[in-house]
Amino acid sequence: MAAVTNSIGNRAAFAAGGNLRRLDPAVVGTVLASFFALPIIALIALALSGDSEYLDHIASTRLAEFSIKSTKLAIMSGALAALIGVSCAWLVTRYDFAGRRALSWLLILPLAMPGYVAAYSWYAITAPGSKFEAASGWDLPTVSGISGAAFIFALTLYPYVYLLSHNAMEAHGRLSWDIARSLGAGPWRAFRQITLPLIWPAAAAGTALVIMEVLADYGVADFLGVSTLTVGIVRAWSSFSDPAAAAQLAVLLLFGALLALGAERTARGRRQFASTGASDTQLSPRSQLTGWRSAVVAGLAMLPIALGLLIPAGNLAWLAINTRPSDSVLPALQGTLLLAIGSAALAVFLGLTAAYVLRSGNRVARASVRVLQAGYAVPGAVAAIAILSALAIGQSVLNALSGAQAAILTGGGIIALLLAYQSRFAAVAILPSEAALMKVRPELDEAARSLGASPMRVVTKIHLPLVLTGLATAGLLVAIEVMKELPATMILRPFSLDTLAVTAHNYASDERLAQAALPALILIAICVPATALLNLVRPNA
Amino acid sequence: MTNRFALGLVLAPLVVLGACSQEAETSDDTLVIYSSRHYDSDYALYEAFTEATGVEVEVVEADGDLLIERVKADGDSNPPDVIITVDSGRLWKADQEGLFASTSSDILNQRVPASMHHPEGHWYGISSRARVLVYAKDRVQASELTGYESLADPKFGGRVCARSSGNIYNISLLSALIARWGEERAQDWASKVAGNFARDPQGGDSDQIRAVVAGECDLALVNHYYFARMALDTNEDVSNVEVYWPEADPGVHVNISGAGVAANARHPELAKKFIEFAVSDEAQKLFPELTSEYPAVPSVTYDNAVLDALGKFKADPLDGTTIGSRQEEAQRLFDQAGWP
Amino acid sequence: MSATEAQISLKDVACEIAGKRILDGIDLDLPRGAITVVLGPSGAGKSTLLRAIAGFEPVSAGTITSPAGIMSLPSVTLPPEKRRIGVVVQSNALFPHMTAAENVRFGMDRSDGPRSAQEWLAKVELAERANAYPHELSGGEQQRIALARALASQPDVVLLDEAFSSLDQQLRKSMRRDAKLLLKEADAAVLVVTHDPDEALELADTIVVLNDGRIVQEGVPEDLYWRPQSIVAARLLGEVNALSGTWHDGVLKTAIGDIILSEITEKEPQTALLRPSALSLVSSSNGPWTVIEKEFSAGYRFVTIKEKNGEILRISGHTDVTMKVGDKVDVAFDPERVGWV
Repeated sequence: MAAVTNSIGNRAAFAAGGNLRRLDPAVVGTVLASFFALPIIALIALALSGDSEYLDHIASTRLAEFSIKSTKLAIMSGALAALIGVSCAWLVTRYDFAGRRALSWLLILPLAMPGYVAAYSWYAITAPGSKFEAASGWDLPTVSGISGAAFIFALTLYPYVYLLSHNAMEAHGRLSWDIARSLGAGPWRAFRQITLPLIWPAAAAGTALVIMEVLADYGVADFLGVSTLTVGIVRAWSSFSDPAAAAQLAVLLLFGALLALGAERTARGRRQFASTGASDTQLSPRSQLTGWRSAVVAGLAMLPIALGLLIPAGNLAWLAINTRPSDSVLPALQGTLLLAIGSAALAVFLGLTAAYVLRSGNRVARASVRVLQAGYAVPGAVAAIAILSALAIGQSVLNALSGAQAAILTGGGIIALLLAYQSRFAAVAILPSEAALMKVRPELDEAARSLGASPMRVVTKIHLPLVLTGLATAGLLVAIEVMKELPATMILRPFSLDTLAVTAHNYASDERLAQAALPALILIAICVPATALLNLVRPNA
Repeated sequence: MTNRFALGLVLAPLVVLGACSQEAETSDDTLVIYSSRHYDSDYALYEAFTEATGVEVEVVEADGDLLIERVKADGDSNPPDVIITVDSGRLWKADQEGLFASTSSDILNQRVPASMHHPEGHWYGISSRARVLVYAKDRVQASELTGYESLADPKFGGRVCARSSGNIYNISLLSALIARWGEERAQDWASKVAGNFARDPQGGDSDQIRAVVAGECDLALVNHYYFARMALDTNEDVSNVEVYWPEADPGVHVNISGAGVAANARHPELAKKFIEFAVSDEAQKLFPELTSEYPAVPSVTYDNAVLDALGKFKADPLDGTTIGSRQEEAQRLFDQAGWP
Repeated sequence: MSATEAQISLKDVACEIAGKRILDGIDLDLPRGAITVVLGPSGAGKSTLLRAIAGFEPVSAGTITSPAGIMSLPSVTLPPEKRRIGVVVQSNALFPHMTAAENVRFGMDRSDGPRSAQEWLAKVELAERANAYPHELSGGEQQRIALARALASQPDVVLLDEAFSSLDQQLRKSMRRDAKLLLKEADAAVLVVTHDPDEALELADTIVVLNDGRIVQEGVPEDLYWRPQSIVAARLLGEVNALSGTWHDGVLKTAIGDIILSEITEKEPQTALLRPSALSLVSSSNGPWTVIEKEFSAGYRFVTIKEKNGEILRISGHTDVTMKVGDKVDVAFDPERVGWV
């Protein structure tokens, strides 16, 4: 158990006097969750420390506009992403057609495309005077404004919905649809009344992730000219030099995100859709499509991939070919990989622990994990400021206690950055872990405990193998998110650490899309196999 | 997989990273620069400095506001030696936060004009950029334009393109206009311009120029060097677009990039040396030649056909400190004027 | 089986999936009010047959028709919701987001049946669980609800695919009995797919043996049990002794004697198939058989005997078999209960 004593949570629990071997996951979870929720607490403290002057100004001018635009954008993007995700999941689950196998995992790939890169690329393709329009003679509607932003978000974030819905559909989508048809329901009614409710928890979880990404985004909304609450937050910080004001608006955003999460939870209700374990492949195989039908369905499934990944990436490739690569690209690549791997490992640990806490039913612990999940909606820049404040407080406490400087709590640094990532991406780690745990039936727990297994043993010997795919999904998703993350990385990264995202953004925001193309492409090039790996860890498609 | 093994797997990367996070102590021969600029001219500048002095340069790049937060938070540990940032507003903000140390030298005071450096030598301008109007030659006559107020002219209703009010260049411009015209007139101008927009603000400066080229609008507000860059780029065609210098009293709004010795610098003498190098003829040439910006030192000669074609102009001598201090007001005015 | 009574008629039906022929040359009639059991090893195509009848799988050759009209042709398949069918499957296929009553009610829109969902639940003795969700019910209860749901939609054809296989032994027996009553009452054409011989024998009016996509034998349970005509068919229904012999002029000479199969003219039987219970032991001082093993199973004794040439037979009889291991015995058989292949 030597390795265990190093972990912070266990140290705290040990100090609390508990016997490690009889450690209740709920207690461990609460401690860990509180620790990671520290940035959120710091955020609230920061918000309270300022006055309401900025809030007053904004309330009288643009707050309503910010809030409405944020809400509208979130809803439009979420709805569109859900539509694309669920439809594609259905096509790939229900039918067999040319290229289905490949398409079923290719559909996840647009997740590898950072939203802001897609925005720059699509805008360049469709803006008036674009070279593409000149060359092809087509007059495409410009990707801009709320509809443009929703288009970009939907196409780069729908894989969240697709991934989770696909898992659910594979588990019990086809058989129940067939049974419903046998009972007299037409295909559409069967889908509406049976399939959709069945995958609703999964689809809702995926859509919740999409909405939170949209709420936290700055780059896409700002570039395409949508004044969202997040844009207001960053403005409060940069134009008004008022981090406290930024924190105040961020708390508002956090509140909204919590509402959304809470709504998703209540809507899900008390249904437990524990899997029976029996695959319905045998009883309900896919319907074979041939000829033109097969081609049409394959084409439809191909469309989101083309729009979300291939076309914007292709545009970038074309730009990159004619541009000399800069020296910063290789070190940036190293930095990106380092951060991604470290975060993924942490995320798996955190996600599992938090999922257990949720499962344990302990009220306080559950509430703290919920708040932690809502951290996803906090803009990266604000999360970074909050962490800087938290670390500064911690630093002074440590100094007071020990009289010396503890270098680990320095303002910048990898630890701070990882902390920022975890607080931002907790939701991405927790939701799939939770969904995976839902597959584990409570009877298994009871059986194991009655046989004398301690809670820890139940976790490692029984749950872990069963939920391994969910955990691997969580780790991969976090890795991809971290590789794409921008503002927190820019603020908190150490001295010498560059990432591809930062490099690409710097060039693009300086309107040098051609130079941004190469780092952006490399970023996509690593994210693509990472997302493809997501397919390997899913249950057999 | 045992409990122990799994935990070890998770903790190993952490331990490794923890070790890495101990930031390497910089040697005595390294100059640490925090910069929010990332242009080819800067890289050339660093290289030239190293070549000339043998001193290695370590650069940390971050966006303007993030950079300020970072330096503030780092405090005494890992301070930079030199801070370079773009825009008078940011220089002012950094100065307010006490991030600069006072420096003076004859070289700096002689070469850099007074309006382009902090009165107490906290920072010195190294390059500048002018905020100008570009217009479509076939749809707008130069004679129709009188200055920045032309953007608010009702006859250009639905024909104007500009970036969002959150953009630092626009904010600085409005700050300068507030100083020039007073709050009331400045806000009136802003709301009239917003009323003239052909489309909601979107994209960057180059996108505004392209919109004029494509005919989506006839008049746009941009930084001069974006135009120059596009004019030099064989892939872009800006032949039907022209630059108008709003020279009406007191002159064209000019924004500066500046460098200053950091308050907690470990190598203040070296830092000063760097800034002095940055305003030398050899270094100053890099800005117009590689980025199409204007050098801070007026006497410098350079080789840039497009800039030469644009010619000389009368620059507003308003100092950076004044511009910077009014930025919050400017954003507030934009909000009240309804410029998104 | 008169054609007018056939609810579903399959003629020369073939089914191809992904280029592979799963069913071939299927001729089958499912009469109204009768239970037809399809028996076969795994991979034989039983589920595909069921799915073709349900309309989930198109046919690549042949026709499926009902008195109402054509159901499946190679070119067109009537969709499942337009066929009046009810399906009960092995795995839990209750809709987890609906209560028991809502599940049962789901298919009732199209029926003008007099019974309400509540009444159907009462018929399967689960009236008080109407508002329970599937995860709150036991496996047996879930299957009963699934059956009620299928029957509540007033189907003309009921298809059961290993419906009781996931239940434990005791439960299976009682559920079978109850289900048979309900199915008969429904007066629908019933097709049961199973691999359980007891289930097949108990439920079937007709048994159809499927192997490798083809029908190997079809008949009433007794016929198939006592007089199987393929080893596959025989083994599917239980234990069988295969005794080789020589055929000459209507007689199969075997180690237990001559078996007269005079009506057979086109084929030459090589092996006799005898159930353990079709044989009986006769005391004999000089054999030719020797008892080598005795086993006890509920209500029966199994005795294994061996002949000097190495032939082994297993015989079952009532518990009062008195022979001991090592005793010499002779064997008698019931000539009406001999199959051959």
